[in-house]
Amino acid sequence: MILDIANLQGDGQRQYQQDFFALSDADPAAVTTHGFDLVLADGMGGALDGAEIARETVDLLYERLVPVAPSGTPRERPMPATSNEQVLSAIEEANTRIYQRYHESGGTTLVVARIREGQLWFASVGDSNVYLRRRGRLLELTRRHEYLYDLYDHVLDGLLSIEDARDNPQAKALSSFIGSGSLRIDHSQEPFALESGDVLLVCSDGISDTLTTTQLLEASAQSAQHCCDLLEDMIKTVALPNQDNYTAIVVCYA
Amino acid sequence: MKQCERGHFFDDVRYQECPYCEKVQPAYGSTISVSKEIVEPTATASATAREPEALEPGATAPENSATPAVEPAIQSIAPATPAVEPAAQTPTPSQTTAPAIQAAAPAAQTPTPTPAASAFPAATASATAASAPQEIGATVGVFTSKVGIDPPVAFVVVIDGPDKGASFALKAGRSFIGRGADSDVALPGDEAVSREGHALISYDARKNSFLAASGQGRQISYLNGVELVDPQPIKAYDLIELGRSKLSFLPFCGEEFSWDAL
Repeated sequence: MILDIANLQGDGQRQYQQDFFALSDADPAAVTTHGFDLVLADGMGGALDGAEIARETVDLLYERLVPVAPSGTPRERPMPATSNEQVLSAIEEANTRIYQRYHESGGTTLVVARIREGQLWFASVGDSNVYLRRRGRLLELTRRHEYLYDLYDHVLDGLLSIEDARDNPQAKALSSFIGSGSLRIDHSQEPFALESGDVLLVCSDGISDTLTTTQLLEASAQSAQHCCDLLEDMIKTVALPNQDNYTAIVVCYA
Repeated sequence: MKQCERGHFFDDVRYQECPYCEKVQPAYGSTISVSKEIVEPTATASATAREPEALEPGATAPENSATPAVEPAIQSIAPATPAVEPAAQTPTPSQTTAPAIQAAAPAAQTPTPTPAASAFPAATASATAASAPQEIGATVGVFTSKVGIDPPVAFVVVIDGPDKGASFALKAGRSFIGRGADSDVALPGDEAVSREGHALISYDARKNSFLAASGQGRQISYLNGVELVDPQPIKAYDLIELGRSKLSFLPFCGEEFSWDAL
């Protein structure tokens, strides 16, 4: 299994960066032995709280997923989450900690993805995205925990127009996030077999709310680093006046 | 490209230290944005729900179970746009629910100011548009309505276990000990503790005394080394054990003090 990995992050038009992320060692030997893990969080809350919550959440998950940091430093108190169930427990733990401290005045989205022996497992809370490009099509592997998606259900039932759904002032409200009193986690039930040529794109909504499906497909047709470069160029070209923080992690599987 | 402690890929020719990690504490004016530009702070007044502003505390203490339900992954094409154009055009239905409302706000708490754009906690926990709007007036306990505030009646300190050092103030009524987010005594690090109501402590205002009781699940708790089956009186420095954790109990109300005797 050969992985080509790259990351991208930018502030957009925001004063602070509240996205945070971490990757396991991408060295081919490490990938062959341990596989590959990634964590992404898009924090929300008062000016610096969002960044702090995102960082803490990422660090908590990262400690569990990656027993030895890429620099070689082992953990002080290793509590490795070897099974996927343990990763879910770690996500619940992060949720409880953040909730107890902030009582829903702050929180973060979270995506965790693990690749082991050609199989993908992932979990998502909130409105960050997990996409898979496969054979020229873009698959959205997770469902955003966003009120808009619940409204889309009503659109599909013919009860509501798409415009009304999108114009709803509550559309972007999160229906689940780390720090919630009632957490929901969207995760794969069984590991998902990857095919050679697959591209995994994990990103915060600074990317997926700005760019179109076509643009994401175009970018993900490149190598990982070129994909990141192209995503950033596209965002700068769109030049939204209130462009959100954006983060992308790209993994090309061969 | 090099990977830092957190695995971030960064150009180690351009940056001495990882620019992604450094950005956690923004040093005003001195950090260089990784996107290679100095970004002007904008006073955006847009209705984006994700602005970093003071947010209204969302509804806490949901009445229904807080067990995190897991959903299967959905594979679909067309991420940003649902492919279907619905035939019927309807006016915005009454299903759109109001933003999250502070459900359990004791009288003494001052609500934080709510900017119009804040909406990050969702309308309802179940987030189905068809459900009724959330209850505005939450239940206020007899004790609280009598005393006028919802003050602490006891304290619990975690003296051993993964969450060692944590402390909790208990309020009148029943306090639940568990791993879940909305537990009154939350033990997030202890996987051997039930998510909800592994055990509970209750303060009876009439008798001005405390009871410890076991929760409904399969897991056992111990009071002073003895299995907790029926509710038992609990006193200062009594030890509660559950999962891998040990809790010490310290009453505030009792013979020496009670809120409604003031």
